[in-house]
This record gives sequence, C-alpha cells and structure tokens, in this order.
Amino acid sequence: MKELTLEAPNSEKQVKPQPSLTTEGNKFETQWLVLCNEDDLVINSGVCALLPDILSNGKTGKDASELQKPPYQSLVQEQVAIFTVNASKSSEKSHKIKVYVIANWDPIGEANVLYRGIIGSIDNEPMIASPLYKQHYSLITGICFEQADLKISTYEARLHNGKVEICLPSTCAD
Amino acid sequence: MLDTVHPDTTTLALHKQIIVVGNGMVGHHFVEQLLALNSALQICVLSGESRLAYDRVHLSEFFSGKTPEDLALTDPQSYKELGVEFHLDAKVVSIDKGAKTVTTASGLHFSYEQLVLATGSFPFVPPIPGNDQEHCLVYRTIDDLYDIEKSAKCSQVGVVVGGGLLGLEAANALKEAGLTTHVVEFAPQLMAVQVDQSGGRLLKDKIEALGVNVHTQKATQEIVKGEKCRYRMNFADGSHLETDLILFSAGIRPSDQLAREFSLELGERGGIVINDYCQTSDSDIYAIGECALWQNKIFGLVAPGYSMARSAASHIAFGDGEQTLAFEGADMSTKLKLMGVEVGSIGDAHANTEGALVYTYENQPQGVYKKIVVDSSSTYLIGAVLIGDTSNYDTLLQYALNKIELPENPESLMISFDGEQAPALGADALPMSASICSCHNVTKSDVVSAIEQGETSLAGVKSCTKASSGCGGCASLLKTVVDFELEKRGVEVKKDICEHFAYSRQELFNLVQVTQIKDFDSLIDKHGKGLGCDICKPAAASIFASVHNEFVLNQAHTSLQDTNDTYLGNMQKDGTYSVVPRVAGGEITPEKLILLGEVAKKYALYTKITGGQRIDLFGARVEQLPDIWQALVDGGFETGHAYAKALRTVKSCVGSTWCRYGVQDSVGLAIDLENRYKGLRGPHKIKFAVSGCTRECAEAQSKDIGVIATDKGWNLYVCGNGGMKPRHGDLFATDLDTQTLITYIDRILSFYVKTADRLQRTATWMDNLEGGLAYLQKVIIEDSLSIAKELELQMENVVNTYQCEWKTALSDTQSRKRFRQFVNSDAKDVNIQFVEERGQIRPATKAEKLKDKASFTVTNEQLIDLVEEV
Repeated sequence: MKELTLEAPNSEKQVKPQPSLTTEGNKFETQWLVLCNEDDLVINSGVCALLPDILSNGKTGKDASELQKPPYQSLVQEQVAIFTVNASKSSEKSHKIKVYVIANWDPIGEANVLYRGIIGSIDNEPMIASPLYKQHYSLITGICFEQADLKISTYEARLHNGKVEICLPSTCAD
Repeated sequence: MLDTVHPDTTTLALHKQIIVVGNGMVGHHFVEQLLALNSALQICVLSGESRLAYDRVHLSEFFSGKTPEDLALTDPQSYKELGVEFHLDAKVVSIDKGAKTVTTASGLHFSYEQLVLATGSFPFVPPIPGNDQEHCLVYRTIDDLYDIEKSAKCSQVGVVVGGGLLGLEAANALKEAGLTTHVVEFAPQLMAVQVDQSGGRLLKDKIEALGVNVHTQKATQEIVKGEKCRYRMNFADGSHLETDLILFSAGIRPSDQLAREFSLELGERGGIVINDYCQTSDSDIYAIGECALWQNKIFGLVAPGYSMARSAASHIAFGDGEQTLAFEGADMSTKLKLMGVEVGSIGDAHANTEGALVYTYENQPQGVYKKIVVDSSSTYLIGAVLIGDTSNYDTLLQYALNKIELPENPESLMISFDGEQAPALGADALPMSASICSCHNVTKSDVVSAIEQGETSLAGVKSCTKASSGCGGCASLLKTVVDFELEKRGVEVKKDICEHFAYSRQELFNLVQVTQIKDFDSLIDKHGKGLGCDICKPAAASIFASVHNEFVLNQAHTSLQDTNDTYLGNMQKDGTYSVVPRVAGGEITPEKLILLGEVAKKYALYTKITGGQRIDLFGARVEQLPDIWQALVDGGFETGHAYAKALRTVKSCVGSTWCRYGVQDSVGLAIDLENRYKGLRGPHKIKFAVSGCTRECAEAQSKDIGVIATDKGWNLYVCGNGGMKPRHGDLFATDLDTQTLITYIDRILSFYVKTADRLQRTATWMDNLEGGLAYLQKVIIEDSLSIAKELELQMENVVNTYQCEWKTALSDTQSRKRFRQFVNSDAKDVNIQFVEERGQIRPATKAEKLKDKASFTVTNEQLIDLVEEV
C-alpha cells in the first residue's frame, strides 16, 4: 500500500502528480495535465514519471486496453517515460526541444525501464532502444520496429510555461 | 502442323507426356530439373516402390531413429502441387516402342512422348547355396530396413557379406540394431574400389576397434543350419562363421530388365547403354542413374546420377540446342564417416595413371593414413586416399577438380610440419567455376550470385542453391565459401558503424582525435546524419572517453551511454542494478569485507562471488544506488567498472608471498596493473590475470592480457578470452622485467583501443590485423610504425586523469538527480518484487507477481474511490 501512495512529493522541486487541468478556449478543447518541471528533463535522454491517476485506471485512450501492460497494471498507477530530443543543429544558438511521452513498460523485457534507453532515429523517425533487449520503438507511434504487431502507448505532450504537459486522451485532437 | 503456326516450343510441349519409370533419388531429381526448365510439361511418374522418393544415401540413419518421413525427398502433396501425376506400386512390365506406350504389372497403359528409365539398381546376391533363407536379406530400400529391423529383433549375431562402402554402412546399421556384427569380404581389403591396400589395412584396424569383426579374403561356399546360431557360413578356406542374420551387400547390378526384354542396347555385363544426352538406342527413351551405362561405366553414386538427370532433362526441354547439357562423366570422389571413421577418396586413388607419383603418410598410433597421387610432372593432384582424418579433403578435391597447380612441396597439403598448419586452400583461391556441390552441380559462382541476390546465411544459400542437400559431403566447403563471401561483403557493410555515420569505429576514433571534437552533437552535425542510435552513441562515448578521458556522466555524454554506463551499474532483468566495487587483484581486507556485508544486509541485496575475484551485490533499485555507493565510497571502495567496456579485473593467484611454488609476487603485480589501467575505456571489456608460476592458477592464458611469472621475470600472453568462443592467449614476449612489461601492455592496449572495431575483443582484433601476432610484436616491440611513444603518451594521459566515477557522481547534484525513479514522485516501481530463496532475495517471477495480486486488492479499491472523487 505504501508503495502506491500518492502523497509522495516532499521536495519542493517535485510536482504533485495530482491533475491540474488547463484548458484553452472555452469549448471542450484539449485539456493539458502537468507531469513535471522542464528542468527535471535530461536533454536527449529520458526520465520517468507517474501518470496522474485520472489517466490510469482505464480512463486512458480508446485503444489503451489493447496495449501491452504489466500483469497487474490496472492496480497501479501507470508509469511514463519522458524523452527530449534536441532537434537543433549545434551551430544554432536557440534550442528546439521536442518532448515525447510513452509508456515506461517494456513489453518484451517485462520491466519498467524504457526511460533508461538510448534515443535516436531510424530512417529519421525518432525512436527509443530498450535498455534490456535492444528492441526499438517509435516515439511517435509506439510501434516496435522489430515486431510491428507490438505497440506501446504514446501520449501527446508539450512544454508549456516551464512544465511538461500531456493532453487528456479524450480531449486530444486526433 | 501446330509448330508451323506457333513455333514456340512451350506450346508444343503442352501436349508432351513424359513418363518417368522409377522414383528413386535420381528419378525424383529428374522430375525437379525438368519442371524447372519447363513447368508446362506433363510428367507422369510410375514407381515400383510403395513410396515416393527418399534419401537412400542416409538410409542407415533409419536405425539411429530417422523415420521414413525424415528420409523422404518429396510427398504426394508436393507432387500434386507441381502437377506431377504419379502411381505407386506401379511396376512397368512392358514397353511398346512403336506405339510408344508402357504397361504396368496391374495392367495400366500409358502413352509417352518420351520415356525416362530411372530404374536404379538392385543388390547383387552372390549365387551361394542357401542364400534364399528367411533371414538372408539385402540393404537397399526402406522396406528392406523394416525386414532387417524385424529380423534383428530375434537375432544376436549379424553378418554383412561385402566390405565395400555400402557394406560398411550396412554393418553400421546392424551394430546400431544391437547385434554382434561381422563383415565378410571376398577381396583382401575393405573398400577396395576407393582405398588402396595400406589404407584398407588401417581401415580394418579402426573398424575392428569399434567392435565390428572383419574377415577378408573369405569366399562363402554355402549357408547351412548353424549349431549356436541360426545359420553357419562355410568358407572356401575351410573356416566357418555362425550367425543369425545375413545381409548381402556385395555390390549392385543395374535394373535393366525392361531394356533387356524390349531390345534396348545393353552393355556386356549389363547396364542400358546411353549417349552423352542419356538417350538409349531408342532416341525417345532415356536412361539415367545406376541403370545406365555410359562409356562402359556404371556410376553407383548419387552425384553422377543427378548429372545424368540434368542432362536428360535439358535434352528433353531444349533438344539439341545450345542450352543442352551433355553428360561428361563424373567425379567419383567420396568423403564419408563410417561408424565414426573418416574416409576420403579422390580421383585416381590407386595411382593407376601412367607416371603417377605417390606421397604417403601413415601415423599408426593415431590411426591416420594419407596418400596423395600427383601426375608425372608433379604439377597437378590426380588422386588421394584419406583414412582417419579427412580434414584436408576439401582442399585436395579442389586441387584435383580445378587443376590448381600444386605447391612446391605437395606433401604439405596432407601433413603439417613444425606445428604449422597445412596451407588450406582459401575460398578466395577457388576459381568461380569451382564445383562446390557435385550432387547438385553448384559452383562457387552460383553461391556468389545467391549471396548477391540477398541471401545472408548458410541456410539461405543452401535452400536457394540446394548445395549440400545431396550427400552432404561438401557441407564444410560450402560453409567456408559462404562465410568468406559474406565476410567479404559484411566487412563492406559493417564498415559503416550504423545508418548515422558512414565510418567504422576506427575512422571515427581518428576523426575525434584529429578534430578534437568533444561532443556527440558536433560529431553527428559535422560528420553524420539523423539523431544517432544505440550503436553509434555508446561507440562515440567510448571514443570520447578513450581520447579525452572525461567523466562519463558529463552532461554532454550522459545521453550517449548505455543504461549500464549511465547508472554506473549492470541492469538486471527486472530493471534493478548490480553493484560491483573494485577489489584490485582480488585482495580484500576483513574490514572491507565486513563493510560489503553490512551494505548488502542493510539494503537486502543478493550477494555472489564473481569469476573475477570480487563480490557482486544484486537487486539495487535505481534510487538506492547513490546511498549504497556513498556507503561504499566512504569505506574506501571504488567503482569496479563492471558496467563498462573497460578494464574489468586483474585476477591473480596468491603468488610467491604465500605459495610454496610461486616465483614472483603475482598479487602485487596484479594490484599495480589493475590500479594502472582501471577506468580505461575500450571497444569491449578487457580482462587481465597474473599467475605466480607456470602452474597458472590464475588462468592468465584465457585473458586479454595474461602474465605468468618465471624465475627471470614475466612472460606476457596476449589476446586470449573465455566466453562463448574460448581462445588461449598467444605468448607475446618472455622473461620481461616489470617496467618493460608495463610498457608493452601500455602500447598494446593503446593500439587496441585506437584501432579495434566496436565490440571487438582483443582476440578477433589481433586475428584481423594483417600479419597477426608477428605484426603486433613488430609494432609493439620493434616499434615498426614509430608510434610507440604516442601510444605510451595516450595511456599516460588515461592513467593520469583517472577518477572514480561513483565518487564524482555522488559529489555532483546534477548527476545524482538522475538516480530518481520518478521525477514527480518518491514512489517505488511496484513491478520490482522479490521473493526469498536460499536465505537471499531473488526477483519474483511473473506468476509469483500475479499470485500476489490479492495483496493489492484493497489498495485498488481505494484508488478507484480516489478517482471517482476527482
């Protein structure tokens, strides 16, 4: 039980994984949830975060049930891996940082480790290499390059006001 | 006429009916070949046997467990799919050449455009009185095997009459069936066709040593009722032999009955006479395989039969056209393993050619006999006999078949002098026309084109060219050629480390060194493309570390490292890490041992002693690593680099300090070496060992760098390794003083780090240096490239800039931050669960985790409540 506690963050830098919704416009438009601070990220590498539980427990996107999950996934909060890619040339002054958020569960290695993989590209498609058995997953589609029928969850994400945010799947513009 | 309107032969061919009599290996091969040339032909197969074609070459494997299905070369389904009509148990009994029809024993009539006789042969049973009794059998078909199996069940002793190739195969079958086995041969020796007298003698010794009794020069006169066994064989010389089962394997006779009865030309001693296109005296009737007689010769092997099948098929498909293949005789060379005895025979094994010269070699203690026959000018190899060791067979055969000029000392092809290997004929020395597989007529150029069309494995080339799927004798030659060709291409492909850089590791290394580039972004920006990947990034990191030796967790390099380097530990299957502090030379104080124990106990880690004389602590969560290492570093430990492509350990024995036999202080040297090279990053892991005397208790010869004490100094061994392909190190230099030893090791390691490929251990690296060990010795000892100083400086730089990575990581808040499991929570990864086993932890299995699900239930409900509140 203690392992699942949600009142964890003590350090000031940490963000409570309680959902804080921001909406843009006034209609039922895309709702964004804060995941962590921008300075928690490591450029060209990954970190791991717990999803606010509004996104766990079956309220995820439409195809979530078909995706690879730990055996007791429904019982725990979902972990996500957050990657940043610096897409700018080293000659350029300003940085163009792109953020990708995918499930942290490695469906082949069966461990929560994807955030510790090396990121890169295959045919210019950004990918992550599993640190366990080196399969490659697209950061855009979540599809495994070695096994096309294997797909991990991906989340739409952005940097906003110094925070990393992901959008509520139900409100995502498809 | 149709053909005047449509001069297209395939249209005409539609109406052709080809009848094939017999569905043995050759008959089946003919069907395949003909369909490959013209799939529109109508083929009808009439087989006298009750099953379709099977592999007779490996018939004896029936007794080691192979089923008829395993031996089958085809099946009804395949024939149906190919559109081949077939009739089993359809023995052809008559041919009407005028009406062009055949009739089977059951009265079926078939008309043919062309008739192909592939009736094979039958075993010759010598006309001995009493040879027709119940347990007197032959060895030819699968049905024969069932008979043998049945008879063997009620027999104790078995005799094979005939000591030729098939006879010995049959003897093996009886032995496999558990009988006391004898071979009775009329000639003075075994395998008289393929092997000369001396070879035959040795073969007999070897076969007898395997428990088969061999009786040569025995002419059986009669088979009568026995006293102890079922039968007694009485021999011409007055001796006798008792047995329960007799198997005749005294040669084959062509099944030419049909030709005999229906007036096709026969040879004097049988066999259907054929021309170079396998046509008999009736040009619409062909004969192929063991029933056919070409230039007065019967060919009793599968390879020539296949050649005939190809020739006949091409003649039927193309007529006298240019594409038609003539049968030009066949090479009767064979290599086989009879009851574990290797036998090889090439060409003129008996040196019957005029002026032939012979080299022989006999090694009785080891049971090896070799003979090579060369022509009168000693220019070409024309024959060979190999007993007990056929390792030179492929090379010799290529010399013979391709008329490759012999080396100055032809005997070097069969024996080695002074431990030097006989010069194997490399795959590159073979001409493109060289025949690799004579059964399926596959040349080196066929193999090369298969590879060029995209085959990348031995299995792929095999299935595409069929090479090595006949008798299998060319398997190792095929592998050599495929490996060589793949390697040739592989090297070209592999040169580019990955899709992001068009450079090899060595080229990247030089690039980094020359340009002094210090970060990956600049490197890929200027010399590569894309974002990099899990291959080029760690390689670049290792190169940066080797060239600049900066802290591996520097911001600029963090993202390049494998998880093991990033988290300074080895990731285990559940995502936890192992902790391995350095225990230089395997020497450890009780205080440190206690500290290790205390840390392991406090964090409930699994402990195990490693092969490198240190202690592994398993099961540390990523967020525990800094605290664990803080405790270890505070107690005087350093990182062991177990996670890195770096120097791992220097193993040592206890040496002269304690050991009665030690001649030098191996522990002292091991500790010095480990401290000198610790932290050195390379293309792969590097292992050392130091032994205090020639007893070699530290197993130094299995390490990249091995040092063995002598009474005068140190012997240095290089480029050994354990693992999947163990290799002993090579003796590099002897009786070195400690300073010279270290200088040499400095240079060797620098040279290795500089020039080796990614993930290339020292052994492969040295093997790939042109000139190998001798070259390396020249570079390192004689400084033939004038780079010794540079290499030493490079190492000096690494030694002087060493830092304990854990110590540095712990003192840096930014680095420490990386060891959080979640950036937004202090929770733990609940997937990491342990159970107890033998008093320690181990990762829970999936089943155990699922079983434990119950304990989460309450929490689950609470979670749901929580969500609903939101």
